[in-house]
Amino acid sequence: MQDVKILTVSDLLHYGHSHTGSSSPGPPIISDQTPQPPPGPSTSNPNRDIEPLPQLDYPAILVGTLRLPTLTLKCTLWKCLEFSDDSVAVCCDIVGFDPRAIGKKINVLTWNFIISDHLSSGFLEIVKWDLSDSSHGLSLCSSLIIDSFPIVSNLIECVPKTSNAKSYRIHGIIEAVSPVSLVPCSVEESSSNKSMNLRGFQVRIMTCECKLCRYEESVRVLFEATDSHSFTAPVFVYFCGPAWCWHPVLTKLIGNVVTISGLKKKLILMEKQEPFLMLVTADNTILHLPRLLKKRKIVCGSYQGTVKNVYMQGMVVELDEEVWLLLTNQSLLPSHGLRIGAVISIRNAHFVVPQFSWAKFIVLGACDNTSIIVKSFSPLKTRCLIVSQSQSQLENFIEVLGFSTRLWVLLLVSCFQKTFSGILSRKELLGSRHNEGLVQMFARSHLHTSVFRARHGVLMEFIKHESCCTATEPYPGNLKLISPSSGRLQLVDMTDSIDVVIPDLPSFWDHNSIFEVIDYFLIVEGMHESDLPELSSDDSSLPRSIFQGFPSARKSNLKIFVYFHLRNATCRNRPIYPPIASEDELSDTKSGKFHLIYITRKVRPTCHSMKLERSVFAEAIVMPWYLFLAGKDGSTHQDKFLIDCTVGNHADHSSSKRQKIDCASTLSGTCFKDNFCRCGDQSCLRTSFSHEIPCSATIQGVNNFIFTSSGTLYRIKANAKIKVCKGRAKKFFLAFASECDLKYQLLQIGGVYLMKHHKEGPLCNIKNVSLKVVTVPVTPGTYLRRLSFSSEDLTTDKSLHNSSLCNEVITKDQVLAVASGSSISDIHLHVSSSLTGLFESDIKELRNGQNASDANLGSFSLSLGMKTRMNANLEQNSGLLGHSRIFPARKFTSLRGDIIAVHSFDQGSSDMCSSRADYGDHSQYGFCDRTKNFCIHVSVANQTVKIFGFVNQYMFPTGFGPGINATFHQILDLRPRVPSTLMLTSESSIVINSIRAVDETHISDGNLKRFRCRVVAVYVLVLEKSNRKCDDLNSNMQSRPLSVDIPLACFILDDGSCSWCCWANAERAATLLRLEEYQLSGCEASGYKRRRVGVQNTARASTMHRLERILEKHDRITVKSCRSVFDPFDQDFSVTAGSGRALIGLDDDFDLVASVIFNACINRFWTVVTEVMDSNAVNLLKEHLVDMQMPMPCMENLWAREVLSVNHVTEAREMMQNNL
Amino acid sequence: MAAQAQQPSLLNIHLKLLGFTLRSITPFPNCPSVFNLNGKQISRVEVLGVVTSRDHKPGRFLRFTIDDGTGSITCVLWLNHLTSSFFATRQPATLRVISDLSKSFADDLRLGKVARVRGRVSIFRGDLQVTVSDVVIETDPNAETLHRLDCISLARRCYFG
Repeated sequence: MQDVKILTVSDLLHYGHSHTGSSSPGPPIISDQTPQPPPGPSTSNPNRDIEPLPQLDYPAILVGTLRLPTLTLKCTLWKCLEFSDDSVAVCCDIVGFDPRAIGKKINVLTWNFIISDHLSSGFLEIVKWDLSDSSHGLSLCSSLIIDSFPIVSNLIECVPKTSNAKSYRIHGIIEAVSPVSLVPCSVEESSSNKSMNLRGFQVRIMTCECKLCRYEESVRVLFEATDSHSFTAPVFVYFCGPAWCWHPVLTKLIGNVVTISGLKKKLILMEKQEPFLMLVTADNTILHLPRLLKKRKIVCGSYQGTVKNVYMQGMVVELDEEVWLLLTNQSLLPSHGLRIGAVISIRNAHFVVPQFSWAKFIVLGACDNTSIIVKSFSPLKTRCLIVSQSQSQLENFIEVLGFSTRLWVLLLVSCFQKTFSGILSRKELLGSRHNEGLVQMFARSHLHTSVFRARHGVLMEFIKHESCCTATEPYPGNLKLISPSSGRLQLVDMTDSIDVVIPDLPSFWDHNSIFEVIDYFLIVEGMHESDLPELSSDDSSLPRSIFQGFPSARKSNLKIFVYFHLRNATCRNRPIYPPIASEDELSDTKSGKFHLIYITRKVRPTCHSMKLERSVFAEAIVMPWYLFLAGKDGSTHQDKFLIDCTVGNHADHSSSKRQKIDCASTLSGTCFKDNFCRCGDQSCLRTSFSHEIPCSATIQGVNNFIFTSSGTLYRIKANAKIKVCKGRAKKFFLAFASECDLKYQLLQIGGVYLMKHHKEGPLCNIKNVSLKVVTVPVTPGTYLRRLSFSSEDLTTDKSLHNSSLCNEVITKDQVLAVASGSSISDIHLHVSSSLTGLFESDIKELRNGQNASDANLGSFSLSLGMKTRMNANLEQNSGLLGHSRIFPARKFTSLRGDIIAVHSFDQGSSDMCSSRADYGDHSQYGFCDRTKNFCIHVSVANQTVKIFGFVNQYMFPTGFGPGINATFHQILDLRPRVPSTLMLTSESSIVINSIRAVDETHISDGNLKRFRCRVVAVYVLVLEKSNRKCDDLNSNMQSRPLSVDIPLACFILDDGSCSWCCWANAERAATLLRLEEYQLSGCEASGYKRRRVGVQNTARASTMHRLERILEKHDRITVKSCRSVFDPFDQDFSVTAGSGRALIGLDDDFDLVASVIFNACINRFWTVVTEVMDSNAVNLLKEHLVDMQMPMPCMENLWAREVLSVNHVTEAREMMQNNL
Repeated sequence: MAAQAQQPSLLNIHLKLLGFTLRSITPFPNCPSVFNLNGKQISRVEVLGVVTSRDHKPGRFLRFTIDDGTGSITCVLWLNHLTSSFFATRQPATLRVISDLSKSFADDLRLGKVARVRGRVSIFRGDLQVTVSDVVIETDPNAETLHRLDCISLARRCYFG
């Protein structure tokens, strides 16, 4: 047997890792109540990866002394027991506590040692121990069972000191222990009064008033007469002064019968209450305990559970069984042992069931009467809880609320932190010691004054616990949460958030503003979901989801967003959002010299590099143009509506127009000369600038402040003498810091932007212009404004004077502009018509300089809508962008067109399968695992182009879907290798130009049809072996990828009025075939099941699994109808395997396939959303069928886009409302 | 009339009919499998109602009636797929599956159950009956409501419109 090593605390600290150690290592014996590691209730639970504490691989013990708390250790709790040996002392906690161990040398046989940066050393959890010398130092008042412990002196003495003052004794059950608190007091010393804080805590003891207790019988007699006592009279004992250190002992003794002698009576005055008689510890106070402690009473409000998680710096503790412990008063925290995986016991807590409409769970509210002890230490490698020292206003605010409201505020904090992450600082959100934060303001504005409770301090509230216990929680049903940020532009209010499309959102938009939006379009895309909520949204887990940052958003089939113009919105800023210093903004905007840059592409880093580099990039070309704005000589005005913070119809601009013309003609040239050319020679200017064009600018400022300025546009010659900038690159990359993500998102490819000229600025002072890659950082202060031009007069400027939406209901197709060319900008230049042509030709030239030849789109005539350029120079930039090497020598293209359809696809799609082989591994394109496969059908010049992509759906801008006109930038051209195919990559971006909205209560936009129908027959079915395997058979069937590919299926559908040929693939086909259902009635009825007995009731017996097994054999199965398609049971089939072999009736496999088809024809109604197939698609299918030697059915051909199950109630209700 | 000619034929559609409507249809003189509904040719129907009687001849047929509150309809579910020469032209393997399925339908069609039946309309001994193609036992009472609404709506829009 191995020798047991005696370790010191220094050894543990020197080891430097959290660990568990034992005198007999082996299978870890943590305690008699070994807690289970927290079960993972959801796959998103981050705790599932927590490891157990590593174990020392040799037997060892610790020998040291257990001491009461002192103030010498660096511990924020001030109530931890201490373990010390000759080397050093550490905080500790102990299970199986025995007061006799206090001050004694003990052998620690099993322990956990947790290293914490916040504790000076570490935290020792003593799991098994014994006294080094059990015969030494035991203090016995009787020869039998009673131990006595002097409270003040740590020296154990048999006989208490005598005192002249009258002392009192109590015998009773410890019911509650208050936290340790400080009471300011003055102590009279011999010479002077000295102020100090009196540290202490209160204990409520339920005492007995029987004869034995009233007359001074010996302590032994009291303990022996267990049956004669009735503990009903509450007595409060104040352990103050040096007695405070007994707090952990008294806490552990809750529920035990004790005798305390040597107490003094004191009259206590608290606030304006009646004087209160309290017992106070004195120098000769002694605690008497029977050797064998017996719990006499189960304290009310007790709960024992395992800690599943700790959130918000320990203010919220998630216990098993969906119980949430609120520890907002951190003085109630137990020892540092409250770690994930620990079993804790909570006494005197409040059980509250919040009446929130959005979640159901139990809250355990901790108050000053609550005590928490660790019953069993966590075997997991989890961190200690550390209490923050500073008390912010928010914490004080939370403390005066009821428990359920407290939890709401804490959830609110979590929501706000996610929603405003990167926008508002932590201090702005949570406030500080002296200032309220946004959360507190928000919460206060939503809480009725009745929910705020007056607080009276620990001493008072401990004594007046009744009021605390009986305090009824105000009904918090109206309290709602805000949604965490979606990463999209959203309107957020107290109830929820909604995606928005704002075409006129300026580049410098103040995201803190509050808007009232009255004129808007609400656009809904998709199908109504059934009345049944998603089963996955578990209400009880909502708090966990929020605290963990995984919002359990309910899935919706509907895509909903709001479209409005900011100019039609009313700004309702409150004082909590002080307006940005618009003066600074104005002076920065309205005057000076500006570069004109043209944005060619936007680049996002890949998932891999995102962790390392948060920056995103945009490539820009510097145009040979400068804009000079006269600034102060121009006129500024604020709309009359702005006075009351309203942006609406603008005032007459005639006066400003007059000023502008004057300025343009007189001032601009002089100003420019003064700024650029100091030689004073006009010829210098003439030889340097090919064009000098006066203009006027309409500038939109912060908070919709609109003003005008006169200016001049200069076009510099290539060989100009004047050097405006010290060093200037033709092309550069704008590098957006993470806090400028909004600027990046609003940046539009193909847009012309103004950047302010600063002599020492990064754009104008490039040291080494020969560098291939020049980056210009974009910081929050960088001036970047979108520019637009028109040759129109100011008064007819449509860009700033569009009509309002006027609450109209869309009665027919309506095109909503989103980013249509020059109409949306921050600065609009009014120039002569001759310039616009010149300017456009410059842009074209720049493009051509950079681009390769125009697109050659094979059979498609798309040259109008597409531009292609080689990716040659990207290779050179790989050093900067890190991932461009993944697109070696491929062509990038831009394409503009109308979106016909967008759908996610899978391996069931035949064209996908063929194409995927050409794409190779999609991970090489820089996408992470969260991506999904999409196919976008785009109509360009009356031809349809397909754009595939393995992309994250968040890449699609709000509003993206069929019916929009969009431009796809940086899409990969796979032709001619893959015909008519383009591909989205991580470098691609999509800009919506316009949205076509239709008032459609019932879908029928010409292309889409929706039916409630049943399957009558299956005309064609192709099944293929899937290459994708799902290992986790227990995972949600809905989320699993199909394990069988269905590249093509043709169903005959019938709704009672008509029948159609409905073509489907992949999931749609699988749904119509009912493959995901475990019970296959057709299969059961056939002999198939009988020959496969024993597997039908397991998940592995699903139809899909059986098909999988067949396809393992045959690779591919083709089923063709060879009889009627109008009667479900009048169908016969020919079934062919991949090898070409026909399966005949003797095969089990034939039975299964036939059963699958018959099964599809019985039982279910479906709501099928279909798309009318155009002649091209029908011809393609005809070719397929000809190959299969089958005729095309003589009925309308539709393509299934969505298949949904039918809710009878919803459908019936809808019919009642609409038709009857 | 031109407008009527443009309407799709209902001959191969499973018309959703209430009992009393179904009982009103008449066979075309020279074509007993085709019936006349408001001048339109029909042959297949879908009916839904409570099973009110059943006459089971194992291995031969199950004759049952369903009542939807507006009328009773006699239905016959054949159970002799493997023995009758009527099915001689069918694939034996398919017949095996259909036979098993039909037996399970027969087991499910208990008195008092609500059944949704699709089938062809025919005349047997002067009475109208439905030769069952497939049966679904409905457990959701809302299915009955929805079916009635469907019948009314389709009648207005399509069958009598």
